[in-house]
Parts: sequence; C-alpha cells; structure tokens
Amino acid sequence: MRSFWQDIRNGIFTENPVFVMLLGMCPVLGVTTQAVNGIGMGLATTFVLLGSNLVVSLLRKVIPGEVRIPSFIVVIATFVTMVDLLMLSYLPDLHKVLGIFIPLIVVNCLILQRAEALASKNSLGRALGDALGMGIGFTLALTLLGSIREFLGFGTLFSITIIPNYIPFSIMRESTGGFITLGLLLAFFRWYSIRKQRGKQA
Amino acid sequence: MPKSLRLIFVLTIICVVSASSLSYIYNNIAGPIIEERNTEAALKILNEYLPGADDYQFVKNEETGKTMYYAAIKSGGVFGVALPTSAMGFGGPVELMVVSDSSGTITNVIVLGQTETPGYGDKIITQPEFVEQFVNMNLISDEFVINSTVDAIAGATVTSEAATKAVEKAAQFYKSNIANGGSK
Repeated sequence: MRSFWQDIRNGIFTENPVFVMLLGMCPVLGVTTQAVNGIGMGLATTFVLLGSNLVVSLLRKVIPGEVRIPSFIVVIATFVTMVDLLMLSYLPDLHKVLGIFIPLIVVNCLILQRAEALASKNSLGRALGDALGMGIGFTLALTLLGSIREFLGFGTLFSITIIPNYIPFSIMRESTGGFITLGLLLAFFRWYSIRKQRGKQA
Repeated sequence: MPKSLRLIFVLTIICVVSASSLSYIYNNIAGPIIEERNTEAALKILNEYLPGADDYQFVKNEETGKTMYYAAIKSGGVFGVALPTSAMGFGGPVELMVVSDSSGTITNVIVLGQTETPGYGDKIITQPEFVEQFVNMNLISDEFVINSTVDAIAGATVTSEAATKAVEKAAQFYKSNIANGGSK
C-alpha cells in the first residue's frame, strides 16, 4: 500500500495535473494572468478536491455504479457553490478577478477524474492524500504559469513592481500568451524528464 | 428494495443533503455579508457623487427584491438619482452607474465593472473623456446613439457601443419609471 507522502509527491511531480496529465486546461489558461490569481484558483480547486474526494470515498459503498457520475457531479457542484459563496463573502476582490472560473470548477475534469479513478475505489486516507497532492500540484503549476505571465505581461510579481517603467509584452496578458507559456513549460518538463530517464539507463 | 428504487433513493438523498447544506450556508453565513457589502459599495458611490443628502433610498423591484435605482433625498424631495445599468460588451457585460439630478441631466457616468480586452476595450477606464461626453446630456430629451450623439473610442468600438446602449437603457428606465415625479 502506498503511503500518504507518496500520494502527495505523486500529485506534485509524477502525475502533476497540469504538466503531466494536462487536465483542467480552462482555468489554467484563463486565470493565470497574475500569480495571485493562480494561487487563489489553485486553493479553491484544492478545497473542492478535498471535499469531493472525502465525500465520494465515504460514500463509495453506498452509491450504486449506475448513478455514480450524477452523484459525483452533485457532490462536486455542492463544494464549488460553497467556495463561490464563501469567496464572495470573505475575498470579494479575488472573486471579482476569478469570476466565471469559480463556478466552472464543477466541469474541471481533474476533479471528476480523481473522484472516478481514485476516491471511488480507495480508502479515506488515500483519497485525502491524493486530493492534497493533486491540489498542491495544481496550485504550484498555476502559480508558476501566473508568475511568468505576470512578469512578462506587467513587469511585476505578486503585484510588486520588479521593472519600473516596463513596456508590457501585452500578448502575455491574453490567453494566447497562456498557450505559448504552457507549451514552452511542457516542452521543458518533457525534455527534463527524458534526460533524467536516459541518465538512469546509461 | 428493487435496484431501480435504490438508484432513485440514493440520488435523491444526495441532492437533498446538498441543497440543504448550501441553503444553510447561504442564509446563515454568506448571504448577509454579501448583502451588506453591496449596500456599502453603493453607499460609497452615492456619498461621493450625490453628496449632502439626508437619506439615500434604495428603490427595489417588488417582485424580485433587486435594487432598481438609488434616490438621494434632501428635505423631503429627491434631488438626484443613481441608476445601475449594463450592456453586453466584447468580453462580458459593461456595468455602469448613471448619476443624474432631479431634472434628468447626467452629472456622472461611472464604470462599475468591465472585462474588456486589456489595451483596447479597457480604454473606457483609461480614457475618461469618453464617459465625460455623457455629462450634461439629459436622460429625458437626449438620445444616446453611438457615432451620432456620442463619439466612440478609437480601437474600442464594441465597448463604446455597449456603454452607450447601457446609458440609453437607463434613459428608457428613467423616462418610464422616474420622470414626471412618478417614482413608481
């Protein structure tokens, strides 16, 4: 049986939802114009992942196979609406920026995939470890993407000016810039992991 | 219990639990805070653009309970109104607040929210000359038509159109609900 830490490491590195599994691309490209948005979106998704994995794992013997997908969707939608309401009450500025992407967490395939592939077949401990790992992996990836785009697009990092009087590379603020940055990062991580494997074989 | 009944039973229970937990959160935690924050934000704008009132009245739609407009009252009479309005722009709704005096003459148009393309449509914020065009126009007697009574921002045609349409909507509302003392 795999340990809790292995599950977490799995989510961050081996099966990183963004850089390895390429799941949930809509928020990845949509909100990562600034590093803070990446963190906010990542944490919101982590909360939903934790909640849905918890409930789905607890109910895995109760839910009949035929209605499992609608049941998972209802559970996920409940947690997403909770995040939406709580963020609107306590973090209204962040909510304004993330806007439509918060309700769209419902259709983030990462969450349904984790519920279907892992939480519905495994114990509570594993489901939570996996949710935490995937959530952290997702948050880190979004923050990295957001930092690069914010730096190139605005000349700032976490809203702190790094280059004064910066002439913005404005394509980075739009989704086009998201695609380009994501593509380059994917190429880099592929190259890195292939090189590492070759090193092992030699 | 037959299989089909079990399916219905389980799904129903899940939906009921989900709905009741959400309504608990909305009614007891989130709802009051959101309401209060909206009121506060509106009051801030009213204090800035319609100062010196004794009281601000939030005129609500009786059916939906949504605030339709804000009236500023001084010594018993309405001396100014603020109308929230919006129209579809390029990247989402362009939300405006149209502030006018009691005769319908616009004193301010404030951009409350927009999600237009950075560098193009957001000139509606960076080039305030555009919304300043509306000042001193009248909600009752003037028509708001892009490129005839209002000049569009170069490079932000769709956004300018949306803003103009939103003001026209506010004018229509003003004419049918507020003008001639009929604060219906």
